[in-house]
Amino acid sequence: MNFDHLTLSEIPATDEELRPAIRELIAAHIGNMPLYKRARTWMGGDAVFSRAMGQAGFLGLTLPRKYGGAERGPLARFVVVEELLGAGAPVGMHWIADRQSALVILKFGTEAQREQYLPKICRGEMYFCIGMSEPGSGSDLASVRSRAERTENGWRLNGQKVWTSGAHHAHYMIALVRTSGEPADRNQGLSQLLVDLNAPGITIRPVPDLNGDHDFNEVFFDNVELPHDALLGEEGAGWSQVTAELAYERSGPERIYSSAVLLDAWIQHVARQPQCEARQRLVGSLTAQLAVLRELSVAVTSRLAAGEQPVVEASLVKDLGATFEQSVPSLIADDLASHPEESVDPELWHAIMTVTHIAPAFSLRGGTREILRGIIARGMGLR
Amino acid sequence: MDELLGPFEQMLASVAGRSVDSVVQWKAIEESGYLDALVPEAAGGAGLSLSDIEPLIRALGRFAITAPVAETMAKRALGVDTLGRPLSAILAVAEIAGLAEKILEMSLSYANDRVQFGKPIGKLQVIQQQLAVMGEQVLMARMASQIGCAHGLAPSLEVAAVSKQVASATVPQIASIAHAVHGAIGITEEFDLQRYTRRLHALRLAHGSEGYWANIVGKARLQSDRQSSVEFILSLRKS
Repeated sequence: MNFDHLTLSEIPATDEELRPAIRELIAAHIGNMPLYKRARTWMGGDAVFSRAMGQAGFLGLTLPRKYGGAERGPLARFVVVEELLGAGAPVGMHWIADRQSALVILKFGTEAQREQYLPKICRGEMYFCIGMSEPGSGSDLASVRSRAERTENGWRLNGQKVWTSGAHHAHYMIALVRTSGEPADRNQGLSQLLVDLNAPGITIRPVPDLNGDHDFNEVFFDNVELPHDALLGEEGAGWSQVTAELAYERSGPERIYSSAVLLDAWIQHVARQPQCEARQRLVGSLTAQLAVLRELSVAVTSRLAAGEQPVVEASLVKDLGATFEQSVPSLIADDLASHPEESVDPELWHAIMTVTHIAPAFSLRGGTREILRGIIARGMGLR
Repeated sequence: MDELLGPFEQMLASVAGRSVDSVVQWKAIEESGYLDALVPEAAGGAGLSLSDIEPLIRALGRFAITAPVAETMAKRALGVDTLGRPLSAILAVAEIAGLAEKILEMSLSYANDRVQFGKPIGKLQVIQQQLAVMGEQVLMARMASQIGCAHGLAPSLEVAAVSKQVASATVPQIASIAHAVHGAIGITEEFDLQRYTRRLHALRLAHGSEGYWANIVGKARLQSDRQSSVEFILSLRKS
């Protein structure tokens, strides 16, 4: 790991130019959204909004034009996503497809697969979910047991996925499954399959989260018949493909902005109160941290734009970001409860408690804090 | 950039260390010509920007040079006897970033060398996780330094505040993990770690600690007509 790989980077003016248009689109759609829903950021979704984004050309920004994309770089997507997350726009429907599935299909898929999936993703009409975790495979992803066998007509899939965000809205899952060997073979013999979630033999059951929200699902595969072209990329290369997919998953600005809507609502409250140095300092330290994290996130995106896979760099920034995001609800709740004489909008309290309860997810999803720190330690030359 | 940094590091290496006479040290620094790095070319200097020499200031940190090298560079460029607090704070941030790099490097190397329970302690997950946290904080300090130095010799109060607030706030955790990893040897007079952490603690407080600057960032944020944090942060880049 060389820290010189993450340096202050400029976003090109041609990418910055996207900001006014995406702001306008967001303002037209989130006027009536209650704070606690906006505070869920990318965990909340709205198909109408996703289609509007597609229509306005804000999805698949980095994909080639011939598939419906904008052929821009990752920094263009950074600008758009930064505005979406900062405002708490309902991006959940298309989120996984736009962030990672489309990129994996572009990178590893056949021409026919690209033509089949990418234009619909870019129009905001086709949604994806991630098929990695299983009941027996969390951080130890290489131990997946879901299995697909070759048949005359393609593949027969059996097994189970869990913690599958948005499976109940998604049209497809990119699933990491075993296609040869045994679980003891670890990262050998794994492949990625494009699973049509409408196929017979698939059961999707909700797993309500601690706020009562339906984000998670468990997905069962019971002799699911899939066509030959369900295979994505190379048979047996699932592990290296999923590693590339995780780099897309870990490196984005959503790893620093999950609590930004809440932070801003609280700052608006504080700005209406009499001046108080202690809370001014809290506003200042949170704002300063976010400002520096933001430049680190831009720096990671610039490495992606340069065609690199900044795995260690993304892990460093994701862990810093998650720690920051988790500190926000706790610190501002203490601040508000330190001023019991003030009247606080009940919606703000509702949002704070919603984020407080779901905040542990920030250092679980996309790789746990402990796994990331292991990656960082190795990257710095330990082990 | 290596053409700039390489000879500077060589010069510093020859005059760094606790037994060096401060007069001899300053003479060598002065004769190197680097003190005119920020002076415009028309006035006989190298005409570099603060961003250009940010790696040099970090190098001063890595060698724990306490002489006012960066301050003198800035004073010569501006033709003044005293620097404003925002610029002084940013120069301290760049030194903090260099010290932080050095302390991380020492800690990683110690963790790979020191054997307990039959293996280097760097193989223990508890140590690895702590050093990962330290790496994260070093990265924060480095980015804070680049943000501060990007605005030249007349930085806005807000940019200096963001930079110094974040850099100073990394210090307690970096020093504490470095000493935890080094164990008892780290708190001896003889072992060099204390020279670096001592300087780190001093620079945390110099020209305003994290609390002082947090107040300034907070005031600016609360008085700003920018609705969102994203807008506020973008406005800092342009200031």
